[in-house]
Amino acid sequence: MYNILLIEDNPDFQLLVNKAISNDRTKVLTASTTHEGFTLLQSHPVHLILLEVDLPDRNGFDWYAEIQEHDQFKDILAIFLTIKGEVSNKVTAFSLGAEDYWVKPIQPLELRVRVEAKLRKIQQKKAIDNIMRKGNLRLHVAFQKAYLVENDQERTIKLTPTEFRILHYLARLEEHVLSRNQILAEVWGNDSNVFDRTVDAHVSALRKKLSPYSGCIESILGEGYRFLSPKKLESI
Amino acid sequence: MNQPSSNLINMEIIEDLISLSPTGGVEVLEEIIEAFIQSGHSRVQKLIQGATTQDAKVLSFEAHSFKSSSGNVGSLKIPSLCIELEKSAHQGQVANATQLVNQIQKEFDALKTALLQILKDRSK
Repeated sequence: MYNILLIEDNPDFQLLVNKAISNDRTKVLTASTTHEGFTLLQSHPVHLILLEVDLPDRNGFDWYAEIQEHDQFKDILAIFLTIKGEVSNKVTAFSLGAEDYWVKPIQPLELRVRVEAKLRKIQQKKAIDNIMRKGNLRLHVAFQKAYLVENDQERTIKLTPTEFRILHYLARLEEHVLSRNQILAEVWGNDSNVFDRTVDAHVSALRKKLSPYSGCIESILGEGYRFLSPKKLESI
Repeated sequence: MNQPSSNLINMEIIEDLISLSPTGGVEVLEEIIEAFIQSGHSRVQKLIQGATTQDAKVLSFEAHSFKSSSGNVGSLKIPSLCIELEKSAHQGQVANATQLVNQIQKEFDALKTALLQILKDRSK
């Protein structure tokens, strides 16, 4: 689900944007002022901001410059959606790091496809960001795929979905000793038909597939398993 | 006598609004038109008041907002009148505001009638 923060004081336009881009995977969070917008930004994960320049409480450019100073918000894509079409405003927006500048009026279908294109860009970026790197190992979380990098070449490790989930869980919490019960709960959830020996069987299969880096999953006697940190993995 | 819709409205925008409905019905169009008519009445009243009191700030702000709102429902005439009014008000020239506001009011009434007629025809 994507959350789009719309900061716009015109109720007619708020309604239009909502109708144009809300669907089962896109939710529009609407604010009429930058103050309301900031409150929504702090309380919801926001993936894209659509922002007017002229707002009742302050100028959209100033507000955008200010949120750029917050580490948690500076990577959110922002698009100015405004009636002000002057080049000087576009220059200001892009200088501040805005993703785009759209001038109203904009036909609703055009708005929809433009927003969808931006969401696809976010998705692609997210996919790139979702690659976990652990020494020679790469876990592509979005596609549930694992690779080993040897001599600058990627080799796919063919894992079952369960093996991938185990490896991802262990790698995510590298250096932590995770008990069989913890792994069971994380990977199988509440499936009571699975026993802790099942974990051992999957880990054993996983290690074979990770060869010659099998040692990255260490058995801790009487406790469970531990994924070794990237530095240790490289030296195995 | 009512003006034909094609003189008042960009029908491409109306078709666009209809296509926003997941069912292909007129419910989204109806909701947007109703919201526009409601806010339009309020904006026209504020423009009349602004022209009467010769308040350049109110005239500029309301003309600016109405330009965008009327464009959203495909108005072909109101945005250009609003641009003219906003420009004059921005320069502090409010002497001819009443005349422009009267024109905007007249166009709003005609637009409202045309939009409701479209809604009635498409609902059949």
